[in-house]
Amino acid sequence: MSEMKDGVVRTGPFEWELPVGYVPGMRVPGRFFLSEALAGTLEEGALRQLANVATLPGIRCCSLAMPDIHWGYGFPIGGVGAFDLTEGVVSPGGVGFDINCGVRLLSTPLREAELRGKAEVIEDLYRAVPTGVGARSPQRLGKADLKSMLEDGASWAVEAGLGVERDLDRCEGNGRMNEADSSKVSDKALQRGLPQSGTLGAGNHFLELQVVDEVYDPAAAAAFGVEEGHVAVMIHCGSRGLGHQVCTDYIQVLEAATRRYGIALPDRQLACAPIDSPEGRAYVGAMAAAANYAWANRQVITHQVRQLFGQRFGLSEGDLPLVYDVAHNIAKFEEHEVAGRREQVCVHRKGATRAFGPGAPGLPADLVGHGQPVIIPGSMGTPSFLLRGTEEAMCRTFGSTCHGAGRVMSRSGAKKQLAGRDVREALRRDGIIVRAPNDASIAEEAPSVYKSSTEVVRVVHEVGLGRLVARLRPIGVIKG
Amino acid sequence: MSIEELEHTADLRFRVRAPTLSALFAEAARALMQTLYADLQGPVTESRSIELESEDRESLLYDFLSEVLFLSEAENLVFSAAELTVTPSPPSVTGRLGGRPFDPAVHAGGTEVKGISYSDLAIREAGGEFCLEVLFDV
Repeated sequence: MSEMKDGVVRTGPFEWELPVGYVPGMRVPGRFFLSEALAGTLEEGALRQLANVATLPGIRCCSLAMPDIHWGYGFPIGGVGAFDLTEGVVSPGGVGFDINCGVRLLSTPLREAELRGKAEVIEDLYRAVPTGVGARSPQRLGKADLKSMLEDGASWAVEAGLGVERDLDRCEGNGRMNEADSSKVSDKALQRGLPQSGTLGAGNHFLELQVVDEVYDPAAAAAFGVEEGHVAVMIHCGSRGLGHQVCTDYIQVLEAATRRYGIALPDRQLACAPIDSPEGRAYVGAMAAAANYAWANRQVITHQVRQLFGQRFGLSEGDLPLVYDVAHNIAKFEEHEVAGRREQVCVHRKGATRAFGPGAPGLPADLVGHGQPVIIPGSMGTPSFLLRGTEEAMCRTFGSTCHGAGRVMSRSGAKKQLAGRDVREALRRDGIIVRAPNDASIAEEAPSVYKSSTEVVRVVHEVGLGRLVARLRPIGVIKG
Repeated sequence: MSIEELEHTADLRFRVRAPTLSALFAEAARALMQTLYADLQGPVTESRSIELESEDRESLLYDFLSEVLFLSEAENLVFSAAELTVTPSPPSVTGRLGGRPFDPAVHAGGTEVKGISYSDLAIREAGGEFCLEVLFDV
């Protein structure tokens, strides 16, 4: 294939390897999954980052990237790395600034034709869910509430009446990381988190109305709670300024730790510390607390959506059940098979989604036979997908798959080449209403600046890192 | 002095040039504020002091921009001016940031910056001027 970069070895129809030696100091190879159609979008910088991760102490098996691989900072976006708990390290560069950025999907009993006054619904959602830079929460949280959010995650919101018990079953890890230690979260991070609970944020974060327009796996779709022709709501956001500050703080802490432990790094953004060190444990405690904040945040937004649908369509909370909630920027302690043995490892997923297969521990009884629901958002004009996790993913990628489409055009390039007003009009002609603070933010996130979500998901399905369950077509979106 | 946006697929990468290290840091803060907010016009009504010391000048830049980002978000302030003194050894920055409270009618519509990245962070001195490259996660 002429378009693939030099030094990359093809090892399968959709599988590629960066041999040890691609950059100095690699301990294991790099491995990524990509179709020929997507190969032209691969940047040299993303490959270098994939190789850099392979130099980190205690990395197991290989440094991995999913078909939405692209150039980020630290780990590539789409990157997955699992680390031995004794020899290995934990790095904020493998999680990112937006800790537990993630996606959740709610189903509704409404068919598209029953969604009367769609433009008004979008407008109401835009008013109900604060979006964009500088947005503040209408909630008045106290420090005790914030501490509970950090320690208890989504269950804080459910106990506060902002959800139902079943919501927790439908969150990855029940919407809570037990490793959370709010005492490791700085005052600065708390100060940023206090006014932002229940806000969507900006950039690629969104709240989208969708229609389930094709079901590929009826049994799994029924178990997950989605039905062809029905309206669904997708929420994409993370831990807001609180998570951003935790990452900022701990890069500083771990920069010093990297020197103290004599770890040689090819990129300072990969600052890290042994998992079993005071600095490593502190970062894990703070990162888990920020992850919990994000789950609570998505739960608060869910409540705002349910209230609005209640007022407009007379629906109850139970009429808008949670299909699932997944994180795609996180480091978690999980058991996986490595070189024929079961091992506890710390799996970093940076722009990658957990995709546990059938029978995996922690899945609720009604899902365990199907595998974990995996939600892959598209962009404003392209479909999103619901998949199910697989045994193949458990064996090959530490139970991980892609997280989205992945950008192919820079934001500045998008603004130069595309007029936000034209993008908005083109989407409107396709039946998609977009509400955003300004046209520039629409241009930045236009469908054409992303890889084809359909092609990314096709690779995932073909390789077996997830199996298609349903396709969701966007009909309205609010963006920050 | 100049602020130039460089190509980066996912995030925002800038090259900033200035005749002195102090002016370079002030320009870098301006690049950050221009990203976050649609407009920096308007009177300066508030100021905040800055006093930081770091291991090396790249760390100092990371710490400085992270602090500007924190102050802006936590205190809801849009900074449009910076009077700074940067010393190379030990690497330190002191001075004041000037600005005004965030007003959605004037400032909304910028791009949220999640953090300042160490990836490819560099400060160089050549031909009698200073130049830095920095990536903002957006």
